[in-house]
Amino acid sequence: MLFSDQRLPAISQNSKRIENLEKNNLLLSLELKKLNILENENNKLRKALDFRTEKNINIVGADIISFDPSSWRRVVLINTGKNEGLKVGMYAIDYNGYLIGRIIAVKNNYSRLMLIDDPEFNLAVFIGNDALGMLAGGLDSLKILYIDHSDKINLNDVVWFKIPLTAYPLYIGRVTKINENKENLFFEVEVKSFNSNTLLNKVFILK
Amino acid sequence: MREKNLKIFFTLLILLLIDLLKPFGYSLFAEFTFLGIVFIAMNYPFRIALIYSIIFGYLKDAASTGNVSFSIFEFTCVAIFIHYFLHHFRKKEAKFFIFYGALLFHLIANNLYIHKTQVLFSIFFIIHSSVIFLLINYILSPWFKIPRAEND
Repeated sequence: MLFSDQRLPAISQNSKRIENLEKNNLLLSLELKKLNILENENNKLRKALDFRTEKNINIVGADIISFDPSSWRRVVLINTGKNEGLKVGMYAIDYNGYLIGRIIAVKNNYSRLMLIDDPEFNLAVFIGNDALGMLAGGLDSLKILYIDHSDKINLNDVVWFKIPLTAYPLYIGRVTKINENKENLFFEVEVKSFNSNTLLNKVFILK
Repeated sequence: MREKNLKIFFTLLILLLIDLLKPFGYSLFAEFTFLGIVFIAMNYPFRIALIYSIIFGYLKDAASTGNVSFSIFEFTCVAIFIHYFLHHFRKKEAKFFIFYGALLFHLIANNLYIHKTQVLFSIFFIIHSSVIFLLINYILSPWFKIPRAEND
């Protein structure tokens, strides 16, 4: 009576699920081994070619203490500084891992963080898979300047940036408008940032 | 006189704190300290307006990112211009145009300062600042004992 007719199909389904999970587990462990081998090989080749080895990144959380009183600037004061190992040029991300700014000044216990929509912010970024450009902050919209006419850019292409000396990509936003003028040497695109939170209170700094 | 000065000082200090803490984040496009300076310049003698525009211009510059004393210069100019125009145009309606003149000066000065023209942002800034200035007038006029007719 313990294994009634009604229970048998459920048991056989469960055993199939377990079997599938075991299969997936094996495949993933094989994939992991393969990736480990590739990583070792990559490191050996980097050494052989005298490339700089990738550095590991660490994340430090910080609270926003105050904002720049001018509405024309997007600079915030955060409560971590030199004592926590922060340096000028480090990048900040939000809860979702999207790039939101860069450290521009550091004191012992606090730092100034320039957000990506500050009019003075600029950064070399990738658009989609091929194109490169210069992201320029702005209060109206973010723009990518100096894009060559030979670059293929489509609407909704992801704009991203790679932290120097690491393989970590940081996503910034999506292309919303392409201003192509054949008379100009370069063309520019408008970008909508992934971080749409206007009530920022916490940021994460990549060390 | 002392009570009046204290009231002005604490009001502007609170407005500066609102600018620094931005309780509405970046969803509100208005500068409370600037609007406070305009309110003081419109309702108080030139000497008082000038002193407070220098003090709060300095405090705003101290909390800002740039090294230039931009706000001292800007607030002082606003106080001087407002008193100059109030002296020459005494009609009630003149205050309306003087306020928007001050706002336009603020927009142009800041756009020049950042070397960029932010059209959409500037439009939102005018709308939000107008509403906030009306609120400041409505809340502060009874406390500062300014006759309603002078403000409307």
